[in-house]
Amino acid sequence: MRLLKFSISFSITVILIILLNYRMGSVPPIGKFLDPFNGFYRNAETTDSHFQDDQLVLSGLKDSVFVQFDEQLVPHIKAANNYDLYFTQGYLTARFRLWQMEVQTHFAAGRLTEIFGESMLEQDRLSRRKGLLYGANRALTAMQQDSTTNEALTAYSEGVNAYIRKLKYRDIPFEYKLLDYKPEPWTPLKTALLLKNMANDLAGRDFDLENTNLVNLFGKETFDLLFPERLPDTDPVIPPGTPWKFKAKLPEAPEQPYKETFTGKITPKPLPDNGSNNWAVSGSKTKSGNPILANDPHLQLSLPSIWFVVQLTGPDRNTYGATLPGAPGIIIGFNDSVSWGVTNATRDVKDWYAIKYKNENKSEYAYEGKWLKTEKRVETFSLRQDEFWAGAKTVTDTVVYTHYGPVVYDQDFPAEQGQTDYALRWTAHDASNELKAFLLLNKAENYEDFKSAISHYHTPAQNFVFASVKNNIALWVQGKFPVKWKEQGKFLMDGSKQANEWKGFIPQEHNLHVLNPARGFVSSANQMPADNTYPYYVYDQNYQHFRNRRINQVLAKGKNFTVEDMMQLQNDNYNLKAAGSLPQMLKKLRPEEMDSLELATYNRLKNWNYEQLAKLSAPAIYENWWNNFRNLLWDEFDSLQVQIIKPDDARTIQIIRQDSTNRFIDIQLSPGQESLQDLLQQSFSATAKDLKQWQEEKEKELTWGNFKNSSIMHLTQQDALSETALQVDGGRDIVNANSGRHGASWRMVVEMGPTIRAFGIYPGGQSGNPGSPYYNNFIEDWRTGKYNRLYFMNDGQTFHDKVIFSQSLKPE
Amino acid sequence: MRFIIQIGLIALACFLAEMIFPWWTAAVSAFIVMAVYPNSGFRSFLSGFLGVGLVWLFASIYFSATTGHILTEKVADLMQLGRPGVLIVVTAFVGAVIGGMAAMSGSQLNRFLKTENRNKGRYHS
Repeated sequence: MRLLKFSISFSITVILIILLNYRMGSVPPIGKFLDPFNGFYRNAETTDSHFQDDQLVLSGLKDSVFVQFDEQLVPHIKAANNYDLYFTQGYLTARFRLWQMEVQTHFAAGRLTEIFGESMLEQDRLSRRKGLLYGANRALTAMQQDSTTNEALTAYSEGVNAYIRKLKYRDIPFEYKLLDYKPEPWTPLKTALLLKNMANDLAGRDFDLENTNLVNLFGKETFDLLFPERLPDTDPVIPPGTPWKFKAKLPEAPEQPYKETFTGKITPKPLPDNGSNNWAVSGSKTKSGNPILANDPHLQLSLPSIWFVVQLTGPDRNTYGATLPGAPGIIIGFNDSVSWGVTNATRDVKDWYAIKYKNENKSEYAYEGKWLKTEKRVETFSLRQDEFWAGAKTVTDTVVYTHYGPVVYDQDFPAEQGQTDYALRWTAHDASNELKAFLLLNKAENYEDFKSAISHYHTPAQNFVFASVKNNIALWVQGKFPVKWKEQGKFLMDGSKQANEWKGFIPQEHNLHVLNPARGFVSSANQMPADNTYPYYVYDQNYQHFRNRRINQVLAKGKNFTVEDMMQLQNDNYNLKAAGSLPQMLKKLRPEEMDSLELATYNRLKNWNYEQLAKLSAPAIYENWWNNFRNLLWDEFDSLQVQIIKPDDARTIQIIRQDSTNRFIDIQLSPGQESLQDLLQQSFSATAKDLKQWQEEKEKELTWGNFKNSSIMHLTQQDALSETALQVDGGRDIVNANSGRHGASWRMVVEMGPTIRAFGIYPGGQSGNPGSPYYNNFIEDWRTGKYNRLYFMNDGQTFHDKVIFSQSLKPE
Repeated sequence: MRFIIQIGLIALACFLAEMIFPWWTAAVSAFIVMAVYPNSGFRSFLSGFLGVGLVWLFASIYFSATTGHILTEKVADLMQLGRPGVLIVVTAFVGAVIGGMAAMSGSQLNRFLKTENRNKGRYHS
C-alpha cells in the first residue's frame, strides 16, 4: 500500500519535472524558464551589471587587449596585433549579440526548421534553393585563400567561441531560454552566410519573371510604355555629362531574347524598401572647409539592432563605425584619414534560364545541340517537433545544379502544378571576398587605398562614398556586373542557347565613379547609376526616383554646410512625390460638388506643405488617396491569373501629368469610359470614406504617425519584445525613409577635419538582450532626429571622461 | 515546530542546490529533506510547497526588483499575464507545486522503507 502511494506520487513528480523541462509547441519550458535562479530572471540587467570583471583571462589570445566602454556601451578595443583585435571583436559582439548572430545565419543557411519546426520549411527550402549556402561555401573558400581575411575570420570565430565556452545555462541569451535550445560553436562559414544574407537582401530582388508574364500578356510595345527603363527627369548617381575614357565591347542580342512562358507563382522576394542615402560634400561647400560625409542605410528595422558599433585600434589601423554582428571589421565608418559609406547599387544581377532536361532523371539538359550533365544536391532539413519526446523529423529536397546555378523552380517548388524548370544565374553564387574590401578600407589612408580596397568588392553591389582629410570626395558604383546586351536578363531566357549567357563582366576600371566633381558634392540614393551615354546596359526595376533628386536639390542649392545641416538633410521629410503629383491631382477635383466630409479632407490636402510629419493628417490622406487612385488606374492588372507587378509611382505620376489618354485609365469592369478626372474623383471620395471609417475603427486621431503605425520588431516578431506604435516622421521615397517597418538603420555624419568630428545613431541599442537597459536606449533620440557624438579615440582626443568601464583581457 | 524546521531545511537546501545545479534540483532537495525527516502526507506536501515556493517567490522578487522589472514586464506581456506581479506569483506557484510533490514523495519513500524494515525485523524474530 505504502509502496503504491510512493510510486504514484514519485511518478507524478518525475513526469511533472520532465514536462516543465521542455518546450511544448510554442510554450517555453515552464520550469526551466521561470526558475528564478537559472531561468529568464537572470537575463535581466542593470547598467552596472554589464561591467563586472576588470580583468578577464581568455584562452586563445596572443597578447593583452585593453577595452574601454563609453557611456553608449561602445567598446573601444586596443590590441597589439590584428589577430587579438578580431578575436576581441568576436568575443564582445557575441557577448552582446550572440543569439541574433546565430539566428541570422540559420536563416541564410536554411536551418530555421531546427529551431521553429515545420512552419519554417518553405522558407528554408527557398534559402537552400536560391543557393545561399552554396554561395557561402564558395565565398568561404575565397576568403580562406587570402591570409589577411583568413586570419580575421579565424580570430573572430575563436573569439565568439571563447565566449560560448564560458556560458552556463544561466548566462545564455534570453531567446535561447525562451525557444529552448543551445548555441552551437561559431565557424567562419557562418560569417560567409551572414554576408550572403546581405547579398540576398540587397541584390536579390529581380522582376524577370513578372516582366516575362507582362510582356507576353500585353506585348512589347505596351510593356515598354508602362515600364520605361529611364524617365526624362532621372537624376543619376554619376553627374550627367561625366566623360567616359574607354570604349565598351558589347555582345550582340539574339533574335529571340526571351521565352514565351507564363509563371504562375513566383518565390517571395526581399523587402522593397531596402535602400539608402549617402553623400559627401567637398570643403568648398562647407563652413569649416572640411569635407563632410553622410550615410544612412535603410533596412527592415529589427531588434536586436542590425548594427553593432565599435572602435578597433590595432598596429596598422584605428577605425570606428558600424559592424554587422557576425563579421570582423567595420562596414560603415571612418578612421583618422578617410571615411566611407554605402548605399545599395541595385542592378539586375540575377537572371533566369529555362532548362530542358533530356528525361525525367534530370541528369542531362539541352545546351547548343548537346546534353550537359547536371549535379544533384540533396538538401536535408531537420524539423523540430512540437512534442519534445519526438525526435526531429528529416525532410529532404533534391536541387539540381546546372552550369548556370541551381534550378530553383521545378515541379516541386514553389509548389505549383505544371511549373517548368528555371535555373538561376546570380553573382551572389560566385566566389568573392567582400570582407577583404572592408578590412582594407578600415586602414585606408587616401583615395588610392580606397580605390584598391573596394576593387575586391563584388556582391551586393554598393555605391561607395568617400571623403578624406585631404579634401577628396569620391563615389564608386562598385560591384561585379555582367556585360549584357540590351534587355538581356530582363526576361526569362532560353537556357539551351549560348547566346543568352553572360559573356563577361564590366572591367573594374569601367565601373562608374566620380572624383571631386565640379558641383562640389557626390551622392547616391539607389537611383539609376548614370545617364544614357554610359555604354553598358544598367537595367533594374527598382531605381529610386525621389530621394536622390531631393538630396541633390538641397546639396546643389546650399553652401557653407555644417554637420548640423547634414543631419537635417538625413531627417528631411519633404515629400517630392507628393509635390510632383498632388497639385495636378487636386486640380481635377470639383470642390463645389463635395459634401462636407470631402471638403474638409480636400482643404487639409490643399494647405499641406508636403512635409511628411507624423503629427499631420495630410500625409495620411495623400498616401491613402494615392493608393486608391493607383488601384483604380491599374485595375487591369488585378484580374490576371499570373503574378505581375504594376507600373511604379514615378511612371504613374508621369501619366497624370502628361498622358491623360492612356488606355489603362478606363476602368475595365465598368460599362462606361472613365477619364483621368473620373478616376481621381472616385478615388478621392473613397479616401474620404476610408479615413472616416479608419478613425471610427481605431478610435485614434487621423495623423500620419498613427496611420503609418511604425514599429521595430524583435526577430521573433513578438510584440512584447518589440517597440510598437512609434511616432516617426518621414516615409517611403522620402529622404527620411521611415515607412513603418523600414527606415534608417544607422545614421552617420562625419566631418573630416584635422580632428575628426563624427555623429551617429541607430534605432536600438548596443545590447541585444531585451532585459538590458541598453537594448533600446537609442530609439527615442533616433526617432526625434538626434545624434550621439561618436567618441573616436586617438592621440589627440582621449574622451577619458566618457569612459565608464575599462577591462583588460589577458591570454591564458 | 517540526513543520517549520522542515520548511526551513527545504528552503535552504533548494537555495544552495540551485546556486550550482539546474532548476529541478529544487525538487531533489525537497525530496531528500523529507525522505530523511518525514511528516504526514498533507503536511509533507505543504512543507515542500512552502519551502520551494517561498524561495522561488523571494528570489524572483529579488532578481526582478533589482533590475527594475525590466524583463519581468516583457515576459509577463509575452505570456499574456499582464503585470510582473502575476508572473512572479505564477513562478512561485510552479516551484511550490514541484516542491510539494517532491516533498510528499520523499516522505512516502521514508514511510515505505520503515515498513519494509519493520517487516524484515518481524520475520527474523
